[in-house]
Amino acid sequence: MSFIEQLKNGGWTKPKLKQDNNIRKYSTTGDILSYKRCKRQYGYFHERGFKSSSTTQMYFGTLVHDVLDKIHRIYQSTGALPDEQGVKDVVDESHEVLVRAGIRPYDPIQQKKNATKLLGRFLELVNVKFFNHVQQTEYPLERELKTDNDTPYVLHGIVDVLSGAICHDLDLPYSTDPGDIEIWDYKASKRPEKGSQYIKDYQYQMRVYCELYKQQTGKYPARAVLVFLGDLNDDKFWEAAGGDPSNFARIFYVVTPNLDHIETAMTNFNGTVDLIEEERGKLFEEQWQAPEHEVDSMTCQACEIRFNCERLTSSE
Amino acid sequence: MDVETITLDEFYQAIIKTTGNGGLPFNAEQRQAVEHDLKLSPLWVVAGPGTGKTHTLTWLLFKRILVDGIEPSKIFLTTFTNKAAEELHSRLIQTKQQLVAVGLSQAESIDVSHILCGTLHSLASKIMEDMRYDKALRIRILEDEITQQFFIRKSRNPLIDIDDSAFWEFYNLWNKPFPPNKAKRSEMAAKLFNRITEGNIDINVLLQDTNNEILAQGYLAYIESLHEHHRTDLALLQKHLLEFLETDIGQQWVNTGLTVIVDEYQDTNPIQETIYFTLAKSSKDITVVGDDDQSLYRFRGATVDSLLYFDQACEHYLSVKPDPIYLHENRRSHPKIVEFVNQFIKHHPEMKDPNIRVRAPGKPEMTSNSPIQGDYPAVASILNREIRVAAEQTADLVKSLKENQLIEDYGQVAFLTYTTRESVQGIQQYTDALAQKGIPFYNPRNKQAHRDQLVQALIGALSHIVNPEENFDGLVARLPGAVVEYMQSCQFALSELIDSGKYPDLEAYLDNWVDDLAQQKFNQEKANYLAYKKGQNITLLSLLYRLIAFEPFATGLTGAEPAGRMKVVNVVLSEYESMYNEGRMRLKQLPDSSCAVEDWHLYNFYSIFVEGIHDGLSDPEDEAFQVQQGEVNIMTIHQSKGLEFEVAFVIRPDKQPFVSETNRLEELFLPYIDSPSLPEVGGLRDDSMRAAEDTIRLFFVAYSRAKRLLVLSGKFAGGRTGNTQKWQRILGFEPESGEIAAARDLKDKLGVQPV
Ligand code: SF4
Repeated sequence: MSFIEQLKNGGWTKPKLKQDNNIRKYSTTGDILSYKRCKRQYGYFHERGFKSSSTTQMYFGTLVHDVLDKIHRIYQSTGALPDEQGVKDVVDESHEVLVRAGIRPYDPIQQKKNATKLLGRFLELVNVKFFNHVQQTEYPLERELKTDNDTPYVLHGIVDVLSGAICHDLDLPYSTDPGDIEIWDYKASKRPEKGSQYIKDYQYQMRVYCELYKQQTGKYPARAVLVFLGDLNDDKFWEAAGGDPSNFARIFYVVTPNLDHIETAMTNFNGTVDLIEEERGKLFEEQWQAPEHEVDSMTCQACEIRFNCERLTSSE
Repeated sequence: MDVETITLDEFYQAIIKTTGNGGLPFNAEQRQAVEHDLKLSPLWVVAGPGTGKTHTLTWLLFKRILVDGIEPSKIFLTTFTNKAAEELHSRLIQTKQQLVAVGLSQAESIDVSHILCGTLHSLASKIMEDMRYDKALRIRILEDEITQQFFIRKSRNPLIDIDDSAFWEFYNLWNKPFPPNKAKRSEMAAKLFNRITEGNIDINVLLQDTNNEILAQGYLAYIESLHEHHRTDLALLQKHLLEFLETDIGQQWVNTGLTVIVDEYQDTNPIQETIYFTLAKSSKDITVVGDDDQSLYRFRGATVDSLLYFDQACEHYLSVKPDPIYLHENRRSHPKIVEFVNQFIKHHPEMKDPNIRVRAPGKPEMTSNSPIQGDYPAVASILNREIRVAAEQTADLVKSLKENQLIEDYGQVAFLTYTTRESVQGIQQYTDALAQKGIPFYNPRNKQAHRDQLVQALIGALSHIVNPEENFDGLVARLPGAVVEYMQSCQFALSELIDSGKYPDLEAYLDNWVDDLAQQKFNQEKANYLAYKKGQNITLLSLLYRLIAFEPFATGLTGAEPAGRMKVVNVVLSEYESMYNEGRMRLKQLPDSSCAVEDWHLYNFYSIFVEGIHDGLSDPEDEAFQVQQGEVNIMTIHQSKGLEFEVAFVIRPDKQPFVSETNRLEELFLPYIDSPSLPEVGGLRDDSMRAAEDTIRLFFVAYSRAKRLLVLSGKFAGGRTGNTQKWQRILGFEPESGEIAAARDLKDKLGVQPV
């Protein structure tokens, strides 16, 4: 009897294919928005692990985040906010760390000056009314969810600041309450144009955070606030505001939880997770083709695999 | 949200509901482990392969949360690889969902994401970040050995200049009459540095020892350079964590009482042991799970003794005795495979010692309780005097398994080997045979990846742009011979492509570059980059991205294997760039005032980057293996750890490794390591015994991967003059049981059926 026959006649049972039932993590910016921007780019850099060379763009945003985080800790331990010199010192210190770690700015002196200026102004503008209410920085949100296809996944995100009623205390022109819970997200840039993709993406992100927060705690936050620090560098705006936050509405972009909008965002999120999972299940050679939808020309111009993409003719 | 506790009985009722068959999904030992009272003693779980380790761990953890009221954020759960950690995390989520689905409302509020679950490295990063430990904030990690070596060279570590062979010979890392080159020295230095860190060796003590003084100075210089550049390496990340735990904030955190659970504990090194016990200092709640027979990482400084002598460590650190539990019921494999594995490990004389523990004390044999049954030869052999024949028969068997519908997919078959290198000594004949029969296979980290034609042509193309004159000799210093040789073969690979006439676009692109550069007038202000094009500086990485858009690279990117290899080139290049000039290639002026790349830049490109490729695509133990469907998966035994396959072929078990050089390091550093589980100085077994242990454990791991069928395939010469001794090791014969004269002896003596 041949060996194969021995197996066959000996009661061999044919094994089923094993399913990969790992539950993956998805975040709004890292996964969903990147995928939506361009799935090919997402596939190469997030899934397949190709490395890109651009690190300089990270510098300013990271610096601003680190400094604000540090200032919050200073406030917590001393009960006071740093003065101008203090802010400058924290900026220098954080800058130092980044530079040593190889995250380099384009024009360090100017950038540091910029950061010191806008952060100083931010402190002056919001003062302890802001920092008093900070409950937690880098607040992690994470929830196990299922897509409409019943694929389980973990949605996660990190909120810059979870706080009490900052808007109320700052007297911002919304209907606020001293008992409000708020989510704050720092952006180092200027406020983008109304209706731009950036704004849409930020809104989307905030809506997802609102939902995540609700899943985690049982209720929605009163609002999510994006603060565009970049606009603080504008002297005209600054002087016009006269130190009153409510006169500087352009740096605060508020997303109020709206059930319909949140539901739309979540449906879209789930759908995108399904698409990504489906893509992963394809044969290697068919995975991560260029998307059929339009891709923003700026994205393509900065894309390192642009020559390897049927979207663009390979001309240099 | 706080989790409301329930009674053990309520917990069990809920679990029974999830199984749907009215019973608990535990055997007696698993149940004992789950129920273990954390207040009484640490738990010491020795779990054989396929005995439901993860299953037990998962329920044990939920019992801690739901019944004992431990907060998820106080649980520190660690395992060996990122992949295993992801699987564990998924398992926890699924388990929670199961409990919620059967109506256990208390499970709803368990925040699985708050459990600290990951590898020790990832948890160290996370904890220090969450706690804002200044020293580690935004610190950059040298993620792998190549980057570490790049850094050692870039920072001009003093050890790089030691060209005295005797120094390296002392550490048993070098035994050639000529001195090692710089790349090799940086590799050896990295190895030594990691051993010092992972042994948690007091560097000041080492500094006092005349034999090790130079090494200790090199280490200190390394630490200083890392600090200067706010970088760290993977081993040192653990050291940072330990330092953090000693700060006030760290101690406060430990004193809140942490539940520590460590998986794969058999591959723990001294610094990790110290960390685990430091974490558990206040709670005394530590559970370790592992299998001494599956310890594989001695060569990296892991010590199986941490598991074998866990009781001593507990007494030393916590003044308590642990409770040992042995999971021995194997549900993975066909009973004949279990029987074979049992016989194998039992018979090796090297695995017994009256004076020291080579295996866990009191460890029972595995019993078999697998749904896979059937009266067929589940352990078989394909042996031949000629490898070519054995390889062909092996490929035939794979093919007929599929054709006869015994398997669904080639992805259910694995080839396990010492080395995935496709060379004559390695498994090339096997891959050739597979290819010839049209069987697809996946061999991603073929050690010879740098010999891959496509990779070579790609390197050749990069080199052609930056150094069209092929100038290797006149650079600032002499390039290592191997690099020059390698570059010659890269150029050859490139010219073969070009000469084939099939890739005119690539050819035109390269020609253009060369012409451009030759005609470009030197301009001091623009000399920092190879070129500026469309407002962008051309760096090496951007050149690489441009090149892979041309055929034949573009097509290569559509296949898992070639794409994987090109990715490695991409990753190594980006690491090189991050350390060397950010990918700039500075230009110099030639006598006719045209341009060429400056010598230092060229020298570094070859001696660091190319050398890294040439030497570095060779650590397959590191990368998690992504099992592919539709293809026979070829991997090293190290990579197969934690995986299982319906059919496993162990390929060329007769090619056994030499005594590992690092066994010497184990001996050398022992006096400086302070660990309660390690033997006294002089108490180590001799070199060859330790090497034998390692080989035997490797086989043990390989054999126990198979679920339905295990086949040993290799060279068998037979008779007195043949390689029977090797086969005795492969099979676990006691020498007195006689020689293996022929393949049929395997059947008679061990039930291993020739195919
Ligand atoms: S070039 Fe544009 S479309 Fe193509 S992969 Fe890049 S971003 Fe996507």
